Amino acid sequence: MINNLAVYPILIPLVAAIIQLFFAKNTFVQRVLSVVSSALILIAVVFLYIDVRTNGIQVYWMSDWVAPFGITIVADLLACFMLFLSALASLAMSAYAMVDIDANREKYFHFPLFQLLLMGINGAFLTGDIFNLFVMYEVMLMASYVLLAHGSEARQLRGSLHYVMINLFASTFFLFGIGLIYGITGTLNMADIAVAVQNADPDTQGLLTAVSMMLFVVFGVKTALVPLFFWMPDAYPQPPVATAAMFAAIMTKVGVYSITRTFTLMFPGDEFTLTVIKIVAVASMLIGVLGAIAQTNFRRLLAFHSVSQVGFMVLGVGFFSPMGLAGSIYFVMHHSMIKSSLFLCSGIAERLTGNRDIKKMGGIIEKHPFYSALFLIAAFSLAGLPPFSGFFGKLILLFAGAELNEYIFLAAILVGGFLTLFSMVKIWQMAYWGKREPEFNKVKVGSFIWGIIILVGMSMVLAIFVQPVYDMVLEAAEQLLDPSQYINAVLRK
Amino acid sequence: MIGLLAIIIGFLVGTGTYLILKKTAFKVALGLVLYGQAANLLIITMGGVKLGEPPIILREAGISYSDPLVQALILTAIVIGFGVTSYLLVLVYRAYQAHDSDSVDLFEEVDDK
Repeated sequence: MINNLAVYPILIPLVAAIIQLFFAKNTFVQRVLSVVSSALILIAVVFLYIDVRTNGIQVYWMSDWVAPFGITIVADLLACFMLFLSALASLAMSAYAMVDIDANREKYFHFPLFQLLLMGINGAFLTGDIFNLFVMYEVMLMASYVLLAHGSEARQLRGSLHYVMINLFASTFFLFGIGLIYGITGTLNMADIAVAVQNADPDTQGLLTAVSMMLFVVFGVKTALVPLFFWMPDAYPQPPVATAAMFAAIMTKVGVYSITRTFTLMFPGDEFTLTVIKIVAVASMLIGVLGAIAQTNFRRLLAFHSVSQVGFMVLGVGFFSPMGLAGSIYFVMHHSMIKSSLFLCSGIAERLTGNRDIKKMGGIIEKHPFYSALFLIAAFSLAGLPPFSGFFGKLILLFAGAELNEYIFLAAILVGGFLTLFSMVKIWQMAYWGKREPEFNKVKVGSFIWGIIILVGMSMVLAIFVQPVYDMVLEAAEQLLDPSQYINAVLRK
Repeated sequence: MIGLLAIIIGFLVGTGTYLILKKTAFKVALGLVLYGQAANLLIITMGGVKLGEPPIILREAGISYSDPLVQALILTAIVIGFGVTSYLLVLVYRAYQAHDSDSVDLFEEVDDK
């Protein structure tokens, strides 16, 4: 089915960014446009999702060049979920950025850059062509490079220098992988690659596995899996909170999405790769959370948690069963909302106390009980306490592991969850509970929390309506495990 | 021809790896540039190197032609690589100004309050 709706999530932010550039001096128009663009994408995604549910996978051929020759835009259920998350996160972040970003950064194109970041992210979710995936990654990364260094504070420069270097290295690696795939299969269209890999000579199987592992390394750098995560705790604490929260909400998920796509569509079900994925996932879970326990810098702690939580999502892919993938998608949704709201919370705490170290905070709950309650909900949800969304995410993964008799991984999930709770309680006790530090800066907390309310509210929806949501993600997982649907839709067999 | 290209790619990757392992930010940047060139050459090689063939299939010339797609791919990759590299060089320079040092390690000293 040809469907124009599928390109809107890429076009809307691009057009918004261009219009914003015309209003370079008028930051008010830019702010409003940011919110409008996110809302429009949200609406387009809902319609797209309904279309995909009723009519199957939607395909758009750029300039009407038919599938393996031109660039294809493909929207399946997983892509719809990811687009929904990116639109939701950008809506919340635009609301927060309105009050958070200082005038200087606003004047120097914070909002257009943010829209271009969104365009790259949405493009990566939608593209059906592996070279186009590389290009969309670069669009996203270029915007993120600038956003990360935006403002040129000394510590920002350090974090972003490491970030640019490791990502440039990963991008080159991606190019190596693409070149090899093209050499072996003679095509760049993902559906076509999937067909070629199915029919491949047994002799080239080893080479194909090696290439798929190269791609895993590339995506592992972007998601910050162990042992490729060292850039992340350095980079995330530096930029303005709204930017850091957007990175945490959706940029790491782009890597998870790419891993899911690569190992369900192009290189599905290889025993060796799945073992590697599972081992890396467990290592990330445990090492990330142990790193987090050792930190006292609020945002650095949260960044280490991202490493650990990404492990849960990737473990679901490693299970390679409908339930495992469903758990992975549910976890991505939960984490994208919760982690970004925690980052936004850390921003308010920094503003209140003028400090990033949780040892030097304290007693926030006395003065701001509602905001503290929001943090507590998000923290408990991240740790996986019932009745919050994190609990159900872990529960689905536990069931998936039990179904496959993978008990070692079950133990890892439980230990990871317990340690997460430990470090969240640490933040709570040091920063929110306890004796109030002598004075707080004057901050209108009320104007900051709208973004957090949106995100935490959505995660509560995810938790309360867990059965319908689970049915939805299970449907997406089953679609992923049946690549012929995707291939037939794209190649129009 | 392909053998020669393979040797050149290997040389570029080897030199690039050596430079990336250095502590000076500028040398790391140079290493990344070499990596980018190696990747471009690899893609060209993967299209099958043919000398003197046109990139279009002429009806009378039979089916021997050089693959035009790989050239389009590396053109894109070169443009992107150029943009990112120039940004990286500016960033290295700004970091040098801000920290008065070009070492990747020294940046660790900066504490985040």
